[in-house]
Amino acid sequence: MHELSIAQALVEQVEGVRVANGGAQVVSVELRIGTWRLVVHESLDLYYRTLTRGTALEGSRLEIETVQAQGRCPRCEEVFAVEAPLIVCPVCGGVGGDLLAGQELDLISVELED
Amino acid sequence: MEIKVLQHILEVNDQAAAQTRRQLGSLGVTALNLISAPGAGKTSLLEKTIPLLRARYRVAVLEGDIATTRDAERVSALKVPVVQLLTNGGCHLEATLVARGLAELPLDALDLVLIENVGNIACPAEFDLGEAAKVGILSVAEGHDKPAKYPLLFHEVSALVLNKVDLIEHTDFDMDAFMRDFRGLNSRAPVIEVSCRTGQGIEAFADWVAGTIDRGCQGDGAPT
Repeated sequence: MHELSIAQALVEQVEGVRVANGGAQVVSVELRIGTWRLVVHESLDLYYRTLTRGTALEGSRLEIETVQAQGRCPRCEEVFAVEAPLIVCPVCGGVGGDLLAGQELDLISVELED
Repeated sequence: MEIKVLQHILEVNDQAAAQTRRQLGSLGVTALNLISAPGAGKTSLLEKTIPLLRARYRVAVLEGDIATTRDAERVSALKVPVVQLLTNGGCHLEATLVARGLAELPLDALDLVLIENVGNIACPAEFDLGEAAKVGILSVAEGHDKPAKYPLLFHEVSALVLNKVDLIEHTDFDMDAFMRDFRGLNSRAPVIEVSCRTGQGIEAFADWVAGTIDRGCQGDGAPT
């Protein structure tokens, strides 16, 4: 359900970039999202398309790069891919490790019509 | 034409939150962001805890709600300043709304601002409000599986209040499974067992809040 909140923030941000760069129609939007965020891409895409209907963002594509969440075990220091939802070390079973990657929720670039 | 941006999607929110954190830090005010599902006991926890804190600290409340002022009315009976934040349908509080609420409080005459978020354990975890710490509240009736189902919140909290423990024998809440999952997400936050109905554990939670204020905890709540 948090995808709607994220889509609303994204639409405002993309609109800001568009206006600041000449105001042309938006073609595509590049995002980087970590798996730890548990963002459902289809859901984000649906909300984005709904919110942008009738605006200069309508029809623009979301291109999402996924970043695999990585944790570091507090016990054995192993760095491992975090399989959501829990941060459990696959080597020694240590829990509650730090996240090294996977929390990304970034707007990378906006492609405008020439 | 490709425009490079490289910004956090919640950048506008995060900037407002950072400004709030600086402001509260310079004034020596600690803000706590209380997050739970509807009905877990956020308002009840305020009602029980504020009388214990009021003797030592100057307390105010920001009361987030989608549409009504009912919770603000309950809290104002405690004789502390309350500002209602109406999201008008929004499912979470954002930093800009919180900053407007804080502007209505006498911040230089306060030690603690308790922010009651909108009842929801998904979206509020995404939005930094400039608080010193997030407090999660889970009631045993909701089930022990919630940390694994809403990992972002349980990973972010600095303390977890487990409410309605007086009902635990009437539920299928499995404490061992709960602790195993919660520690899989958060190795540091204390779990404080509370019953707002019987008063059990309220003092322990008030002590945790007092410790957070006394450590001068204003600026370390930023998400990593």
